[in-house]
Amino acid sequence: MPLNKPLQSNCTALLAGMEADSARFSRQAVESPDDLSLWTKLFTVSQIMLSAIREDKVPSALEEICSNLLGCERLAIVEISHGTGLVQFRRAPQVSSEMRLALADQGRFLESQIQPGDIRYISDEIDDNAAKLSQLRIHALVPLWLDRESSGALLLFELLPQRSGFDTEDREVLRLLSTNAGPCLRSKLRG
Amino acid sequence: MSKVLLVDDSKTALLMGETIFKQHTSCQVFTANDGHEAVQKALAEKPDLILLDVVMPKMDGFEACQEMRKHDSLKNVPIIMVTSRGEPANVANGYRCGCNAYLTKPINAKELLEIVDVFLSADDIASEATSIAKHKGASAVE
Repeated sequence: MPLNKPLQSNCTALLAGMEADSARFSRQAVESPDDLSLWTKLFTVSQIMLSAIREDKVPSALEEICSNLLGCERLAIVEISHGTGLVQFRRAPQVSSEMRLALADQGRFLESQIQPGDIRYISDEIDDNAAKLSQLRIHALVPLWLDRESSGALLLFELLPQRSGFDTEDREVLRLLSTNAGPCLRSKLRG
Repeated sequence: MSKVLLVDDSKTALLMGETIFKQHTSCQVFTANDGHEAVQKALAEKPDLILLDVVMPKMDGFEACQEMRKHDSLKNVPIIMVTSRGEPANVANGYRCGCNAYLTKPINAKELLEIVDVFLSADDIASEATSIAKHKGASAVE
């Protein structure tokens, strides 16, 4: 389906912004050797996302990034309708039907957990909401934004055995995904 | 200039590895997407170091490592297994198949460079320090 003009223009702006970010991350990786791991990861994420938009393979790129850079091999990309909390699974390859049902039942709760600029990590918080996320086996809930409105979330479940949680680098990667993945998922450059 | 062969079926992992080597070493980088291609490229390019993923289509990293060790030209090439499977049984299997070191994903660039430093000549890594020093306006590191 061809893009309408505003969306096409958004895509162009998105790509230009991501290209600029990517170039900055690449420079930082050379200029800041102490943080080279962080900047290399951010550069890799931005390049993979750019290529995924062009090839229309954003969901699988997100899965690859989470598996290879964050050590999380089970995730779900969900859209959550405003007001109704209706959960739609865009991609959830390793998520069982029981887990999907449990998540769908908690759509309104998941919607309530999506806050601007806030990624929810269950390891950081001890409250009822964190306990509920934990019951749903969610390690992190990453809001996906589109034009300043929430378009859904990236739900990260179990981590690989060698990982005990998300460190500072992981959180920067997730912050970048939170900002870019929403528009990327909606972008279809090929008609 | 040393040659490095990176083997992984993930574009993300390959790009991350290539970026680290290209930005911080003077090594020439080759890539392969599965174990079978890895063996072919290793025989053709005679790399000085191989980074080998384990879970791959066609031929996994363990098989590829064993296959490489059958060839005289690859018997002594350092092979670092890079994988998400960090369980002790998998690590032991990697060493049984002939790898020299084992790294678990997600890769940390500094850790990777430290391990690579053990296996490659000092010249390949020294160029990193030189380029960083030049970038910062300092004199070149000898």
